[in-house]
Amino acid sequence: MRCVFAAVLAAAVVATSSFSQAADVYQYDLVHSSVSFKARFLDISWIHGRFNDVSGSFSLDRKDPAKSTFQLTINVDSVDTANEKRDEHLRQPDYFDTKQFPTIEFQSTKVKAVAGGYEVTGDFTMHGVTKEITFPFMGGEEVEKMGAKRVGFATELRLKRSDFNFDPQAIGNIGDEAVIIIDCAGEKK
Amino acid sequence: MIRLLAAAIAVLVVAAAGLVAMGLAFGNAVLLLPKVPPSSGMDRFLLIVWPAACLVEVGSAVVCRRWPSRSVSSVEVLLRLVASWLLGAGLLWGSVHLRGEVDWLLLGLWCVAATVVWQVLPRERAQRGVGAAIAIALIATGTLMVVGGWLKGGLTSLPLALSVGLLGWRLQDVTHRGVVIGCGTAAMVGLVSLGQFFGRVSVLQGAVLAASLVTATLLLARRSPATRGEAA
Repeated sequence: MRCVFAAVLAAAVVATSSFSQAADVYQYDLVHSSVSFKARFLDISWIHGRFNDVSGSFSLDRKDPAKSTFQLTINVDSVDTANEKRDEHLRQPDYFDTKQFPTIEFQSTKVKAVAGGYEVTGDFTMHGVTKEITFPFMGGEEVEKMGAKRVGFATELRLKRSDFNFDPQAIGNIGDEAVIIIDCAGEKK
Repeated sequence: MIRLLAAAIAVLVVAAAGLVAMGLAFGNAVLLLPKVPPSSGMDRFLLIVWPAACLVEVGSAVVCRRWPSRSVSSVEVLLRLVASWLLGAGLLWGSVHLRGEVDWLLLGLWCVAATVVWQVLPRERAQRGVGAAIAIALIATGTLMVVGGWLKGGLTSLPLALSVGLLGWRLQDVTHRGVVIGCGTAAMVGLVSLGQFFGRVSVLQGAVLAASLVTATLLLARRSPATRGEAA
């Protein structure tokens, strides 16, 4: 009787662990990732910058990709355009207003597998405005290196700042459209 | 004759309303203020917080003039205390400055300090000087905001300073001038707070600003009878 009970318990443990492994959860790897952006300057050149403080997680369900989720949080105060005075101006209410809107966030609501990655739809919140966006998130192949399982994804988003309630006066010299480039790795230890 | 007069008054009222509308449209076109719904501190200040403070100021002036007694003055202090709290909470709502219990405690201290300033300045006898000093303080705050990188915040100070300075100087009635000074004080406290909490105006800059305000007030108040409000 005791053996039967132990066998049932072991089967339950195995079943539970295999169920929990159905979706692999990876944490955003800050060291091997970057969220950068570029915007037109006077319509003659591009200004480049990046956010240095980003966190997030990806939950990948290989069997049922629709159950996968992607979440990303960007600390806007960490904006870095290699010019401290410009960065300070970008943090102010004329631009990002980081004391009022300290983070840029993305939370997926729908995920679909496509060739070479996923098509992700979700809520993108910036400057206090949430909009649904859809973008291809290419990658997702898992490798096991340096003591962790790793996946990588990449995409480019083209967003209009005017859609996110940015001050129209702050749109002029710096173009309305901003390109956000996400190259990120996730790790599962 | 009466009909003619009524028609002239109606034309004047429509013209005045038209001018105000044009002024608002022009101000909005130039400064692009404010956005609806008011999600930023500046938008809440211009759309909700400052108009509410002005209403409190006008209401308390009316009540105090009609029933001038000590208990009514106490009501005025209480109203200003509540309005200060709303002013602070309204400015900082949803921001990183109101995330914990300590922040609300600091907000409480801030509103007491704001009430003291709000209570003292409109009672100052040299009201013309105070009006001018508040206008100077508003422009100084705006300049600090611009220097700190918040251009729009700095621009906002100009119409506020002009309104308070001109009205405070031109109005003859002491109560009316007191209302303008009260509204100007609320604008000054609000703008300084916006600069401090959202616009990166540093504590050192704020201290210099406060010292300038005190000096300007004293200089203007002692300079001539006109600034003391004695000349009609």
